[in-house]
Amino acid sequence: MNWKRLAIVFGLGVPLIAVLAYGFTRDPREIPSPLIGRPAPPFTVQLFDGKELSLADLRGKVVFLNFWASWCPPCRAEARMLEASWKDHQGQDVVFLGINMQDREAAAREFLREFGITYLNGIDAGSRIAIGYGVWGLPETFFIDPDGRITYKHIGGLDGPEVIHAKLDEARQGRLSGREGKGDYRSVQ
Amino acid sequence: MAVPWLAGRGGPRRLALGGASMLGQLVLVTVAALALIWALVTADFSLQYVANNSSLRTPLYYRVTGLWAALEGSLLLWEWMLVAFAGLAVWQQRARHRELMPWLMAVFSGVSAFFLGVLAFASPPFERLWPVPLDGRGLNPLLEDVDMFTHPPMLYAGFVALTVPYAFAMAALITGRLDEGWIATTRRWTIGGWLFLTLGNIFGGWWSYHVLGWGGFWAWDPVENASFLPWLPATAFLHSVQIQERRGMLKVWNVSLIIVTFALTIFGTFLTRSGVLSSVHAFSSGPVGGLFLGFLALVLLGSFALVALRADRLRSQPEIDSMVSRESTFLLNNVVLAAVTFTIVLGTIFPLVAEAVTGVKLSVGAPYFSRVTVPLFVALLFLMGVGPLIAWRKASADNLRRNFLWPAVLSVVVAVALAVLGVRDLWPLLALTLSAFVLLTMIHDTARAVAARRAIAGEGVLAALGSLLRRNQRRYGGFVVHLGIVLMVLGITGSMNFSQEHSATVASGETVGLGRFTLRFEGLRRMQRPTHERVEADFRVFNDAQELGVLSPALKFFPARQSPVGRAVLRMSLKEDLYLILSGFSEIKSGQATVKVMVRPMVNWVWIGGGVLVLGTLLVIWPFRRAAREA
Amino acid sequence: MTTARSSRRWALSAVVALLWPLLLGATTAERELEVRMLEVASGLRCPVCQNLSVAESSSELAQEMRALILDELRAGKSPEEIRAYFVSKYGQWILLSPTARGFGLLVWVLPGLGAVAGLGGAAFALRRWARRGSRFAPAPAGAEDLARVHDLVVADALPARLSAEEAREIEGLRELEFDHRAGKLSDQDYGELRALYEAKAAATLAAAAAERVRAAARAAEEAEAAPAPAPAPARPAPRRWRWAAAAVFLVVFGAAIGFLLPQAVRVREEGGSITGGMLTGSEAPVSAAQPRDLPALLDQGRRAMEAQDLGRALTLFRVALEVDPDQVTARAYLGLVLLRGGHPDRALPEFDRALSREPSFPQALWGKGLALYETPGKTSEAIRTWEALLAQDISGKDRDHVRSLLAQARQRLERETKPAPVAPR
Repeated sequence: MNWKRLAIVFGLGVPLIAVLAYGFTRDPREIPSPLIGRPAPPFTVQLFDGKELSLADLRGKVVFLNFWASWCPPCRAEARMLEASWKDHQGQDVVFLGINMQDREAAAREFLREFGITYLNGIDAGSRIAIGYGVWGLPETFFIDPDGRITYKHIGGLDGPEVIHAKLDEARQGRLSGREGKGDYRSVQ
Repeated sequence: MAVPWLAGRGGPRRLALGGASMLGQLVLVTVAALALIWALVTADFSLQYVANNSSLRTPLYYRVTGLWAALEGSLLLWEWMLVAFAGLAVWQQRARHRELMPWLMAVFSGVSAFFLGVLAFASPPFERLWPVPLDGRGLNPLLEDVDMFTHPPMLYAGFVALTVPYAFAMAALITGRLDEGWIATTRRWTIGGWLFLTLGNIFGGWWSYHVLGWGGFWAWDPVENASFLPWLPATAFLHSVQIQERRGMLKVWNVSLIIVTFALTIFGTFLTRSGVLSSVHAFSSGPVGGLFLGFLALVLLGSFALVALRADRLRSQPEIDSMVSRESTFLLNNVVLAAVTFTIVLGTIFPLVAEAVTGVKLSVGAPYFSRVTVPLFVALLFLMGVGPLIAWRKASADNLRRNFLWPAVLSVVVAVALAVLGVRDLWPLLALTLSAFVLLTMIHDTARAVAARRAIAGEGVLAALGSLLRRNQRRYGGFVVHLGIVLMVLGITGSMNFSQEHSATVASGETVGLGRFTLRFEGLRRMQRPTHERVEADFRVFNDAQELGVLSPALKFFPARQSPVGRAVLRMSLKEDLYLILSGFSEIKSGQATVKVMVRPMVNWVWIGGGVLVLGTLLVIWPFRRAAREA
Repeated sequence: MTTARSSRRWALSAVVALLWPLLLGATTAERELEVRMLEVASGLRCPVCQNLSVAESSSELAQEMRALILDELRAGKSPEEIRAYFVSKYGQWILLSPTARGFGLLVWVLPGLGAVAGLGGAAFALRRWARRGSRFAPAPAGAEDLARVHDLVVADALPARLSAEEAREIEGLRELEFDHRAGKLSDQDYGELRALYEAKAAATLAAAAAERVRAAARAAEEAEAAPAPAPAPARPAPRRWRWAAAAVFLVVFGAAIGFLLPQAVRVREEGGSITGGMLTGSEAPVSAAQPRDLPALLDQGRRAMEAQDLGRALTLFRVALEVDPDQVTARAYLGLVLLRGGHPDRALPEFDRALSREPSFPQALWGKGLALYETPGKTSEAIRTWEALLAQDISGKDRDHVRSLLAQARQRLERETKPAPVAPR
C-alpha cells in the first residue's frame, strides 16, 4: 500500500527533475532558425560605395552573407579572418557580402578601413534584411547555395577559415547542414 | 577564511550537542557575514566578490547592500538568515515539543549544511584575487536603487522563514507525532514568511516599475514566477489550516502544502541561479544550478516519500456538517490556488518540456499567463467575497438569501454602472464587479457583527468594533488583508486593461499628446554623475492647458557596460500614472529624442493595497492580548 | 496585455492648440494603427531581450520590429499574416503564447483539466464528508458536563489547564453563537448544531478530565517507584535502521542527481568562449614540460601566434606558465592571444600580472593599452598606458606605431563625448 504511494511520488517527481536537468543541455537564449534549407529571403541592399545590390543578381554563385556591427566585439575579432578568407576564395564562384546593421555609418566605414575589408558591404537601415533572416545576435553568417537556398547558418564569431572553406564547399554542392553552427563568442544587442 | 564554514559544517545531530552546534553555526556564519560586509565597506579588492560588486566610487549604502548583489553574497545572507531563524524557532520552542526537537534540529542542520556546502565548495564568497586590482568593477547599475535594501532581503526572509514550518512538518512526520500542536506554533512563522514574501514581491514590482523602465511591474518572467510561486501554496495553507484547527482534518493536504511551499522556494532559487531559463533579470548564475537541482530532488522526493509512508497515521476521518459552509469555500479556495500554482509551474517549465519532447523551441510568456490565470484569480475573488458571509459548519438557503441579497444587488448595480462607463470586456468587468462584491460583503458582515456585539454587550458602534477586533484578531485582520488584495486587484485590472501608450520622435519644441496629457520637448541635457554619465530629455507636461511641471527621462551610460541603462520617470496620482521612457536620442546638437509615453491608470492602488495588506497581516499576528492558552 | 482603444477625442484647449498646431498632425487613424501595432507586438517575443515582448522592449531591434509591423499594417496585412511572417523567420519561439496545436495544446488544456479535476474531487470529497458528518450522533451527555460546557462558553477567558482539543470545542461553540447572532445561521440550524457540539464538547471534557485523573494516578505511582528511567523513545531498533538507510539513500540520490546528471548532459562550455573551442580543437597535445624547455615553448608559441594558430599559441603559453607562473613574456603573450581572440576583459588581468612583475615590459604595456582601448569607456586609460610605453626604450618603428595608436585613441576620446543613439536592453 505504502509502496504504491511511493511509486506515485517518484513517478511524478523524477520526470520533473529530469526535465529540469535536461535544461542544462540547452542554451535558453538560442533561437533555432527555421530558415536552413529554405530559399534565402530576397533583398536589395545599398552598398557603402553607393551602388545597390540585389540578392537575386547573385544567383548561380555561392553567397557568404555576414551580419555585423562596428560596436560588436566578436565581429571585430573575426573581421581580419573573414578578409583573409575572402582573399583566398576571391575569383571563384563565391561572393562575400557583409551587411552592417544597427550602426552609425561613420563608425561602420571606420571599421571597414581599420580591418582593410575589400569584399562587398552594405547597410541595412531599419534592420529589415536582418529581421528577414531572423537575426538575433551578432555576428550571424549565412551560406547560400547557387540556387539561392540557405545551406548553413552560423551564430557568433566564426572559429577559423577552415569552417568557411568547408561550408562554402558544401554550399557549392547544395548540401544542407543538419544543424546550425555556434561560435560561443557573440554579442546580443 | 573558509574555516568558519568547515567548522560550522559538521554539526552534530543530537539534542544535547544540537543546540550548541546551532549556536556555533549562528556565531560563525555571523562572523563570516560581518567579515564580508566589512570587506565591502572598506573596499578590500583582494576579495574577488568585493572587486566584482563594488568600486571606490560606490557609495556606502550600496557597499553594504553589495552583500546580496551577487550569488555568493546572497547565499551567505540566506544562510545567515537561516541559522538565525532556525535558532530563534528552536529557542522559542525549547520548552515544548521536546520529542520533535532532535529532528527539528536535524532538518535545520541539513538545510543549513546544504547551503554551507554550496558556500564552501561551489561559490565561495571569500575567493582571493591576485593581483589586487586598484579599483573594483562596481555594482551592476540596475541594482543601484534604494529598493536594493528592501526587495531582495525581504524575499530571502520570506523564503527562509518558510523553512521553519517545513522543518516542523518534517520533524512531525518523522516522529509520527502529527497532532496539531506544531501547526499552531508555526502559524506565526508561516504568516511572517508569507508577509515577507508578499512584501518582497510587491517591492519587486515597485522596483521593476520604477527602475527597470519598461513600464510594467509584472512581466510573468520565470524569475518573477519563481518568487511568486511559494506565495500561492503558503496562502492556501493559511486558509486550510483553519479547517484543521477546527476539525482536525486535511492533515496530509496541509503538510503537503508546507512541503510544496518550501520546495518551491528551492525551485525558485534553482531557476534564478541555473540559467536553465532566460529571464529579464540580470542574475549571476554559477555552478550551483546542479546542486540546487539535487537539493530540490532530495526535498521533493524525500518529503513526499515520507508523507506516503506516514499517510496511514495522517489519515483522519474527515466530516463536515454541511456542503454549504465556510469549510467548503476554503477548500475550493485551496483547489483554485493549487490550480494557479500548477498553471504557473507548467507554463514556466513548458518550454523545456516541449523542447525535450518535440525538439521545437517555443515560448510561454505574459499573454499566456494572463489569459489562463485571470479566470482563476477572478474565481478566487468570488470565493473571497462568499467566504466571510457563510458560517463555519453550516449555512442554510434562507441565510444565504439574507446575507447575499444586498451585496449581490449592489454589485449588479456596480456592474451596470461600469458597463455604462465603458468597461465592456468580460474579465475586467468581472474583476471590478467582484472587487465591489468583496468590499460589500465585508462591510455587510462587519455591520452585522457590530450589531450583534451591541446586542450582547450594549456597546457603542466604535467600542463594539474595537472589541470585535480584539476578540477576533485573525478574522478582522484577515478582512483587512482581503481589503488590501482588492485594492491591488483594482490597480492591476486598471493598468492591464486601460493603459494607453504612444511613441514619438520629437525635436525641441515639438509636442507629444496622450490621453489628457500633452508633453512639450524642451531639449536634451548631458550630465556627469559619480558612477556614470547621463543624458536627460526634458518634457514639460500639460494637463489640458494646466502646467504640471517637467519630467526628465534619462539614459545612463556606465563606463563598463556597452548599452545604456534607461531611467524612466513618472508622475503618479491616484487616478493614473504618466510614464515616460527615453528610448533614444540623436546627437545632442540636432536634439531629437524618441520617447515612449504611457498612461497607466490606477497603478498606485497596487502599492496602496500592499500597504493595507501589511497592516492587516500585522493585525493578525500582533500580540494584542496574550491568550491564556497560547502563552 | 490588451491596450485600451484610445477612442478619446483630442480635447485640447484653444490655448494649447494655438501654441502647438503640430499636435494635430497625429490623427486619430494613426493612433488606431499604433494601438493595433502594439496588439501584435505584445504577442511577439523580443529576440534580443530575455523575456520582454516586442511592445515593451526598448531595444533597437524591437523598435525596428515595431516599425516593421506598423508598415505591414499600413500595407493592409492582417495581424495573423504578420505573426506568421515572424514565425517563418524566428520559429515558434517568437510567439509569447504557444499556438494551441499539437504539443502546444497541452499547455492550454492541462490547467483547465487540472482545475476541473480538482473542483470535481473537492465536490466529491465534500459530499462524502458531509454525509459522514450527518450520520454522526454523539452519545447524549450528562447534565453536569453540559453545564460545565455552558460555563466555559460564557466565561471571559479560558482556563490555562484546558487541552488544545477542549479549547477547540469551546471556541467552536462560541463561534457558533457569534455566527448565529451575526445572522449567518438560521435559528433551526443553530439549535441543531448547538445541541450537537455541546454534546461533543461535553464528551471531550469528560474524557479529558478522566485522562487527567489517570495521569495523576500514574505520576504518583511513578514517583513511588525507583528513579524514573530516561524517557528514551521506546522504538524497536530495526525501525531506526530503516530510517537511517532511507536517509542515506536519499542523500546519495540527491548528490548523484545534483552532481552527475547536469555533468552528464552538459554540452555548454562554462563561460562559453571562442578560446574554449580552441582548446578542445587544438591538436598535438603538449607533453609535460621542463624549465629548460621554456625558451623553446615561447618561441613555438610566438610562431603559432604569427601563423594565426591562436589555439596552439594559447596552449603553449599556458604550458609555459605552468612551468613558471612568473614568466613575464609568456604572461604578456597569453594576454595578447586572449586579446586577439577578442577577450580584452580576460586579457587585461594577464597584462596586469605581467606588469606587476616587470612594470615596464613593452609587450604588456602595448597589449594592455589595446585591451583598454577595446573596453568601452576606458580610452583615456589606454592613452595613459601607451604614453607610459613611449617613455620606454623601444625601436623607432614601434614608436611610430604607438604614436598612431595614440592619435587614434585621442580622436575616439573626443568622439566618445557624443554617444551614439543606442537603445538599452
